[in-house]
Amino acid sequence: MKTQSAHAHEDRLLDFAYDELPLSEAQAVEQHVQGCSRCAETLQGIRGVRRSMARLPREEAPVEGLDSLLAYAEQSARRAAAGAEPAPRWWRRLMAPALSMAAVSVLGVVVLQVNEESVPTAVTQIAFKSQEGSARLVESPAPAPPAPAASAPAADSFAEADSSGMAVEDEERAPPSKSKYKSAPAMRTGVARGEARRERSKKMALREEPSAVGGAPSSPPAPAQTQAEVASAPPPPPAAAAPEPKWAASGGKAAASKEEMNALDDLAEGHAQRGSVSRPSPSPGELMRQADRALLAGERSQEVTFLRAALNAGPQGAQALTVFSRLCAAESALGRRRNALESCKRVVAMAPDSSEARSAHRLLERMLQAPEASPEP
Amino acid sequence: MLAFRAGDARAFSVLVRKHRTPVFNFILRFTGHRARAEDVLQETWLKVVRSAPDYETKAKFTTWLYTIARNLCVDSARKESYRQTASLDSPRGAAGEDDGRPLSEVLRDEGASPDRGAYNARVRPLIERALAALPEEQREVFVLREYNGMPFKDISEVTGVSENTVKSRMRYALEGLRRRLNELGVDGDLAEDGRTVAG
Repeated sequence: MKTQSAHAHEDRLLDFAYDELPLSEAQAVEQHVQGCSRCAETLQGIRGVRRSMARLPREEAPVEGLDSLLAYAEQSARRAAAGAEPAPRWWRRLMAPALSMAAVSVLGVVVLQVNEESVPTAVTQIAFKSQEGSARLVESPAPAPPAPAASAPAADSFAEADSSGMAVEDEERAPPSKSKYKSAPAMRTGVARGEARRERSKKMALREEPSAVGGAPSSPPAPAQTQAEVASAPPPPPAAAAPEPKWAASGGKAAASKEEMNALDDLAEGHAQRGSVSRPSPSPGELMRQADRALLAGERSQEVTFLRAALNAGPQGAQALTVFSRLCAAESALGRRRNALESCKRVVAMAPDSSEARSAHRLLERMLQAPEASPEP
Repeated sequence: MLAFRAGDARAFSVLVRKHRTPVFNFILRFTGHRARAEDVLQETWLKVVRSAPDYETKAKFTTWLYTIARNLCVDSARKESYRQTASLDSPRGAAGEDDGRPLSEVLRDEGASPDRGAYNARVRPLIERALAALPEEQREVFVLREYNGMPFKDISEVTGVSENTVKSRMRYALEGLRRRLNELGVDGDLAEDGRTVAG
């Protein structure tokens, strides 16, 4: 009945009626229809319906809205010609949220790091200053006392000495007589944050040299700016090249072990996790043993740093006297006149009849007799 | 279309002049409602403008254009689904031409007029109703083929079905129309000139 039957052309009648057959096939179907009443009837039915339906006239499209449509098209064409708004690609639409998330994440990390760096505890600020002071004083021929602990009984006098001895810092920012306690709130301002970061960069740059030479624990390279500053500065004396302890960033607590030192070092450079801050602080005894090792190694500057850390740890009684006495000797040996004077006076004040007081007295006399090498800033 | 996509607004004007009326007739006969057809026509051309950047040269413009129009017609029909095609036996609306009488009675009353032009004008509503009575998938195929002269292959692209399915629907549409026209007394042989629209 269908293609295989005698009416194989029946399926093509539709195409034939609508002139969609090639000429040869159309002729074959036409010949078949002439001899086939069934196909002829089907074809006649199709043509009859078409004739009836042809009575529907063609309607003209309304003109309403044509002007606005053309105006809209013209505007769109202008945009296309200008190419001002390229069609967003699918991958752009997908990437946009991911890039936004990445940008927010980076911003969050930066903010965290900045906050971590610029809002340290008061003790941390003092510790940074003391480190800075010791490093700068080594560079400077004029002796200057380092910064003491914040909460120690002798903190006030040391603070004054510290603020007056911050050679480079004073040049940049603070007046010589300005107390560090008064300047501590300022450290939280934007300007102070920038300065603090700059000074920390300098400090870290100073730590780079001993790390490279002495095989100290590896630390990330200092920023280029800091390296440039160090390069332009006069070469530091051997004492400045000694690896300084990296306890400052832990809130003034010295690190007892090498592992802690590394962790604190990472923190100071903004790469450490917050969890590493919560390590237990070493005791004054441990810090004094660190100072002993530094003394045996001939690193008096490092010894001073450990001794200051021991002061921060809160030594009691004879231990405090020993710390001040050793500070008196170490600062004097380093030529840090003001710091040495303060330490020695402290020893004399604490135990006037002790052997430490007598040694301090001798050092005081020696320092008072000796002329100042250069005016302190 | 490529010229318009490149920023030539005049090219769009040419396209509109060429295709606006055929597209409108397709929409009008698909929807069977003039006001809706005008709305769909405007939507169709707006969508052409908006979709110009997505136009691919491998597609015929007419196929692409009628695909847009057809999809909008389908959407419109869904929205207006409450509108049922009026039955030939149901009373027509008060605004109708025949005072609410069934179409079969109207035709019997008028009879075969010697004025074929008048006869054609009188049977036109019947033809429209016969067309509107077709199922939507048959109606769209018939209209595209009969009134817009679109080959079955292109209709298959517009409607998204195979060419065989298109032809099958076309056969059903022709058979349905023939039966309905016979019921209405509309004889194709009485047509004025015996010609078809697109054929």
